[in-house]
Amino acid sequence: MSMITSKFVKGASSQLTTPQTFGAVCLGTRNFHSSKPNLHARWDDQVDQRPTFKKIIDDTANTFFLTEILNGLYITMGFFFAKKCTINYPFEKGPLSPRFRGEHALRRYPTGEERCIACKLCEAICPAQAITIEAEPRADGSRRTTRYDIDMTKCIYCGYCQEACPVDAIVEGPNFEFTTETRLELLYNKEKLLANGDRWETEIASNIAAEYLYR
Amino acid sequence: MAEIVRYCKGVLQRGVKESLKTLYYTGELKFGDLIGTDKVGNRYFENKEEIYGRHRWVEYANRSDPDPTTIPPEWHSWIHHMSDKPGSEMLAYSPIYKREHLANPTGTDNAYMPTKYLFNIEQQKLKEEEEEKKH
Repeated sequence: MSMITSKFVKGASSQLTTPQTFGAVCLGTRNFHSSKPNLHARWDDQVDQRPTFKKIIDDTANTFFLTEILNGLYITMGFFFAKKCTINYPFEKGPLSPRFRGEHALRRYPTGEERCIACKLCEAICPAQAITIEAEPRADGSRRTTRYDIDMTKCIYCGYCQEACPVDAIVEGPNFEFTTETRLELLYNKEKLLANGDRWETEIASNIAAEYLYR
Repeated sequence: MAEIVRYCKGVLQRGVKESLKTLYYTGELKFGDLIGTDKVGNRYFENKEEIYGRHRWVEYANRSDPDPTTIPPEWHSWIHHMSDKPGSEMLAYSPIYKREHLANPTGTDNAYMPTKYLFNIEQQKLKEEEEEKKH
């Protein structure tokens, strides 16, 4: 050990000229690079050259007339008058995809009959287990949910529920501005989800129409 | 330079007082074509000479408290560059059971609250008791 240390300390001054030995001692026993490390390319390579008279004059003039500061200010000025590309939310809004996955909504058929048939596929596929469904046959014998809860605090907005749904009932709508002041307000029940569907159906329908070729 | 010309045109379109107000509330003075107005009174503008992605914007009916959730779904897709159809054309998609759009009601009395949830249970018990007394 002491041999290696002494070799290294000594090598710092004398072995700089032989890059391979220096690298091997410095990094351990092996060199991982296939090409030789170029220890000679250093920032102070040229430092010992005598400055020419022209260089001295140039450097002094640059310092004296604040050339670099003025160059910087010129660029600042240019950007001051240039067109800004930062979106001025809420007056301008960013682009969204028709497939955007935002707030959930339960859709209805054009007649007004709710689509969900309580197959529980969304509940099964939900990776965050945010969906809870209870079902019963309705008075007319059709199978419907008596309870459809989504915990929006658990939801990870993966969109698996809308992919799993065989009747296009649960969808993730385009709305993302549903922040609330309390946590309670994010525990959506069926009533809230259906209301969302009724409010946003205009846009949901147009988005589905725009994407019909790809589904 | 472009910015100066833009501001001048903005002032020409609105007049001095209106432009000062717009500058104060939105921090920006733009000019363009009025594409439409929704039920609440938000006005939607477009100017294709603006930088791409900023060429559509809203001026809210309530200037001092601009609330983006007041934008109804028929204009939502236009303002988000999802489609080129303005609100009037989007209305064709609205169903018969359509409900009136609601701005995010959180913090108001209208705020959504799940029924039968923790402290709601006590409130509901009180209500039920009151109803029983009435009958």
